[in-house]
Amino acid sequence: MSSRRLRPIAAMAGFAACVFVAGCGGPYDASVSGTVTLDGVAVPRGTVSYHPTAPGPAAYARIEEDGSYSVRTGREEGLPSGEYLVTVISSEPPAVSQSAAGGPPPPGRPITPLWYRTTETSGLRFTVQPGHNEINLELTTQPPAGWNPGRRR
Amino acid sequence: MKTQFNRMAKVRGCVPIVAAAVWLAAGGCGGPAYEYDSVVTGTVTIEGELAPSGTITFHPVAKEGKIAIGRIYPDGSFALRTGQGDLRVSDGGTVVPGEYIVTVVVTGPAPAPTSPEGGPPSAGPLLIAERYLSRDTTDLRCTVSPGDNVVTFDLERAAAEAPESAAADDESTDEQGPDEAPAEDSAASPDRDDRAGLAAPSPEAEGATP
Repeated sequence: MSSRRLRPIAAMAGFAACVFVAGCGGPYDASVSGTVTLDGVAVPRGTVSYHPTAPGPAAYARIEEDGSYSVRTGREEGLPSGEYLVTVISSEPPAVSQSAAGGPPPPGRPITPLWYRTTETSGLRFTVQPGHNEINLELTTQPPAGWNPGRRR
Repeated sequence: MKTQFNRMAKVRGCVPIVAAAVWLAAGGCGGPAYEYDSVVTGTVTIEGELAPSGTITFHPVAKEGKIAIGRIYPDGSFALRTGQGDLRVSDGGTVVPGEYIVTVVVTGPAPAPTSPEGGPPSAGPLLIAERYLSRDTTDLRCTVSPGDNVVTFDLERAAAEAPESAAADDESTDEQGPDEAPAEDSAASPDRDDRAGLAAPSPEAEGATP
């Protein structure tokens, strides 16, 4: 058997495999999706952030109208497996798209409680395993122990 | 390398046509660059919330560098390209490694789709602090390493109407629950005294270096 003759075929097969991998595979070994609820009700908008406890970029997700989210890192689906501190920020859309003076719109009223905005106070810590992870973020309006609205962090 | 080449060709098949794969996939799955050595993607947030649309520009510090630009998508993500990038892939482009000064424009939806005369739509309001617009005033910097880079930028929101922000200064109760004061205060408060200066949150330039 002439491996010399087979080589172009192997190369062609490899070519197809590479294109396929490039098209559908991301560089990350894990993915996270789930639903965000506040006191059992789906949160209809906002941002979920996964901040790694190890050095590395944060991963983000936009919350859809049904409360679902799916995390991306940069433009790629997924994130590296590991430990993450999670924050959730959700606000009503601004009442107007521009201020009276033509300036930026005032920020909308918060939907999710403010302690979920920072990694120090959110109390949301998860281990993301390799492969797919379903992580439902069940938020409550009950402040965590020690939450002091007046205290500056 | 040559002998490895043959063996790898049977096992994985990829090696003989790496150049071709890169040609097709540059930027798509990272990997070696098509034209320059770095791939840069990332996310832009405004005080923690994903930026809805806009443009991010990397201005090289070095004279021989090349400017790189990326559109900010509705999920806050962006991918940089140099010049026209690689037009064979929808979202691909590569970047010269090095030091960059970063400017960003993030605008909200335009109040009206088109002008009354049917001209181009007016720009939406600027959602971020004005200093990010100019190379001379931005405090955002980024070091781009060879290979894949994922960087995140958390920007300060555009100052709301003056009376509001002034009133918030002495409030200690502006971080109440969801039914209370506007969100704007909480994220900005730690840096309030420095808002005019450069001490605002610097970019978390977390290059995923190889």
